[in-house]
Amino acid sequence: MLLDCKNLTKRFGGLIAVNDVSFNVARGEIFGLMGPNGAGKTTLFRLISGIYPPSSGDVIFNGKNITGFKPSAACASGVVSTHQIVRPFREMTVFDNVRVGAEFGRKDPKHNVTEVVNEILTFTGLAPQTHVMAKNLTLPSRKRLEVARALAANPDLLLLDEVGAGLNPTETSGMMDLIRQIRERGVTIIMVEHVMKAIMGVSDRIMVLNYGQQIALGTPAEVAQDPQVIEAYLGKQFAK
Amino acid sequence: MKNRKNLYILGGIALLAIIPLIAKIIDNGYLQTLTFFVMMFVSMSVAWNIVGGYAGQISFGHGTFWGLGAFTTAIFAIRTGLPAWLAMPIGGLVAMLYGMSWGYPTLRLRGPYFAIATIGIGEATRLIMLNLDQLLKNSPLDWLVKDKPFTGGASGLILPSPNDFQANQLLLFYICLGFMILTIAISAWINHSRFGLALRAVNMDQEAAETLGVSASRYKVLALMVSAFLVGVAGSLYAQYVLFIDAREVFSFSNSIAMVLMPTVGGIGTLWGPALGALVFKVADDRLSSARFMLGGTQINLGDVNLMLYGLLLVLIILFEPGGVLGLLKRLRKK
Repeated sequence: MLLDCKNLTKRFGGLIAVNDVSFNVARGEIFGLMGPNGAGKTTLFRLISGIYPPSSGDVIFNGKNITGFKPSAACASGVVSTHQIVRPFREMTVFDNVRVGAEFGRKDPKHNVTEVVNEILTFTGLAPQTHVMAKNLTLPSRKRLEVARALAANPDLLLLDEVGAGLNPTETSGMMDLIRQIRERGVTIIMVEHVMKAIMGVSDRIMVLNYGQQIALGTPAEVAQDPQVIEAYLGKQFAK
Repeated sequence: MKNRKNLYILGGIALLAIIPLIAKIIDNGYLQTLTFFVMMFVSMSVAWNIVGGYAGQISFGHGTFWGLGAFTTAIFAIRTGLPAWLAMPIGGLVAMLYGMSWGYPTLRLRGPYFAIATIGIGEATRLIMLNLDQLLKNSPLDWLVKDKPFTGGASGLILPSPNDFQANQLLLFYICLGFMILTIAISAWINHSRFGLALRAVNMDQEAAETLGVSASRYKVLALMVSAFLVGVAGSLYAQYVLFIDAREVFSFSNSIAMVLMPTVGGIGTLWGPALGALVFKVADDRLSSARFMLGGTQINLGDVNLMLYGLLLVLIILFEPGGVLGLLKRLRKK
């Protein structure tokens, strides 16, 4: 197992955002994370990537306990996350944005930084915009930049938080193709996504959260049949 | 383009280098003193910009570095009898260590909270330095104040006079010129280096930078230390030039404000903006302090209301041209 999360819990005062969630992700897998708004998906991501320390529970990555690591330390171990609302370095060019990941992430000693950045810009289709200021990009390009930057940090595990949100169907399917190609590079992916068709089509397994608790875990087909999932999304009368 | 820029820089340095000659002919050396202070303030402004502009950590506590550089130099010269200029790196080091000691805890604070904390540190430092001799009396460190004052309190410290005052001023002028070039070169190097990339990333979005592996607090503290060292050396130059310092003056809040104001006026976070801002600020300050006019039978002394004018200037810049003078020039050239 690449990632093993054991009994993760996060409390914000009286609110339990993530409640005793356990799951594991195999190397090379695309693992989907679903749930209604406020279910705790982003919080769970933040527990794994180190932005929040968990209230209890452990995060074991590659056999190493990385619970409570700072984001920069988690990145050095190989866990990199993107942000739900895109956060490019606005006053930097696309090249420099990606360069941050390449310079400060896990460096591959075989390649120099400029090579890595150029390769990733080509891979993500951002090469024509190399010298554009990040603040001048369109939303689909910003979403790609968010992914490109994270990829430049050379992760083993990439956490993608709603990279399809706000995109039209064509752009979404382009993004899903990109995610498959990232997997082919040997990167394991956990993704949060609201676009049902997208997450069902691309994930190997899906976990569903509701009110911070895990209510289903399995293949897309299994999860889609699960009465608890149907209830969470559509209401009681639709669940048999 | 690149060659022309280098030509401008060399021309500027050459012009500065012959200022003492020009000053001797036209105004008995006043121009030399003014240029010395402009160069010193350019260095301070450029140094502040490393942490305040590149890293975006607005520090109102840089006056402490300047003051410590000045005091270290004065104490060194008085106690050892060696030439004061030898204390320049020591003054820088003392300032750097002090910066590390308060930067480490305060740089965890974000945005305005950091700025507020630095105001507190600046004020506390001034009060401690002002009363240090009293505090040391009858303490285990009593020997420091037994024969002569340590910081001199409100009466200050007088540095030993050099044998040839004129020659010493001239020497300091050229040391200051070299130091200013060094400071700008360091700032230029940081701007293009990996270090500078980390600082700008932290400035624009600290959380995003950290998820990409940038150790934000380490780089922020490092930036503050580099900045503090350079400002400390500037303080050392000041003490050697004026030969009299007191804590109330060298640790005054207005010095810290000036270091925030100059880069803001010139163009915060850029390489040349802070230098330009310091030039505008210092020359305007010099002209203003002697300007006066009559208003309804009352004589208005502009030197008395200069803080009001700076405030007005700052508000206008933030409202209409956040890029400062440099941003304004760039916009005009585009048209």
